[in-house]
Amino acid sequence: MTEHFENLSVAELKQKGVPPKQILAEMKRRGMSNREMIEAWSPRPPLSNRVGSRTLRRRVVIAMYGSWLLAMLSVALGDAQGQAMASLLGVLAIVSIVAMSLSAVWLGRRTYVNSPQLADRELDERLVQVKNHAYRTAFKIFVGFIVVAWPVSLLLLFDQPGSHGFTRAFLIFAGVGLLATTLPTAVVAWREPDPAEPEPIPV
Amino acid sequence: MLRAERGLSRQQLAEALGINYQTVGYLERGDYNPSLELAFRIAEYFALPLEAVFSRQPFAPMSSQLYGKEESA
Repeated sequence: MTEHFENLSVAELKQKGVPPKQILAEMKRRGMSNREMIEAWSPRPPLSNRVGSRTLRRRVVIAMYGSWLLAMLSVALGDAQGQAMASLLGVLAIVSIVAMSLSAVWLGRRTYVNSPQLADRELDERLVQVKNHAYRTAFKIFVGFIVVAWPVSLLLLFDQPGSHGFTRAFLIFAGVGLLATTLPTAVVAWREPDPAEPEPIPV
Repeated sequence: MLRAERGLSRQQLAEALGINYQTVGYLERGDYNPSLELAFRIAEYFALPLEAVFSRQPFAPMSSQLYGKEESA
C-alpha cells in the first residue's frame, strides 16, 4: 500500500485520512529524521504569524507591564476606598495579574529569544548580537528598577506593618520577578522589525 | 546584486552560509556589517575577492561600470 503514498506529502496523507501509524511508517521509510517528521506532521505557521508584527509585539509589552502597574494601583487605591470599591479594585487587581501572566506567556512563546529555531546553537552572529544587546539593555533597566524598588518595598514593610505593607511589597517583588524573567524578551520584541517571509526559491 | 545574479533565494544563500535568512536581508540592505569571518565565507561562496563583494563606498551601477568604461576606453 505504501507505493501509493510515494508522491504525496505528509499533509496530503493526513488530508486523505491515512491512519497516523501508516503515515509514521511512510515517513520512516522515506528516511526522514525525527525533526523532519515533527516539522512535516505539524508544519509551523509562517514566521510573521509566529513572531507577530512589531506593532502587535509592542502592544503586548505595554499590556504586560501596564497590567502590573494597574495591579499595583488597584491595591494602593483599594486601601483608601470603602468596602465595595475595595472589592471591585481587588477583582481588577486579579484580572490585571491574569492579563500580565497571559501577555508574558505570549511574548515568551512568540519572540525571537524563545523561538525554537533560534536556540543558542542556531543563532548566527547577527542574532547573537541582537540577543546580547537585549540582555545588556535589560540589565540596565533592571538595575535601575531594583535601585528604586528595593528601598520602596522596605519602606512599605516598615512603614505599614501588617497585610497592607506586605501586599504592596509583594507586588513590587512580583514586578521585580516579572522584569527579571521577561525584560530581555520584551526588549527584542520591542526592537526587532517586522519579519520578512522567506522568498520563494527561484526556478 | 550577486545573489540575484546567481539565481539564489535568501533562504538558499543563508543555508549555504549557515546563517539566518533574515541576516542575508540585513547584509544586502547594509543594515548589518558582517564579521571578517562571515565576509570571507561570503566571498569564498561567490568565488570572488573580498573587495568585489564588500566596499565601504556604495558600488556604482553595473551599467555605468560596463558602458562608462567602454566609452572612456
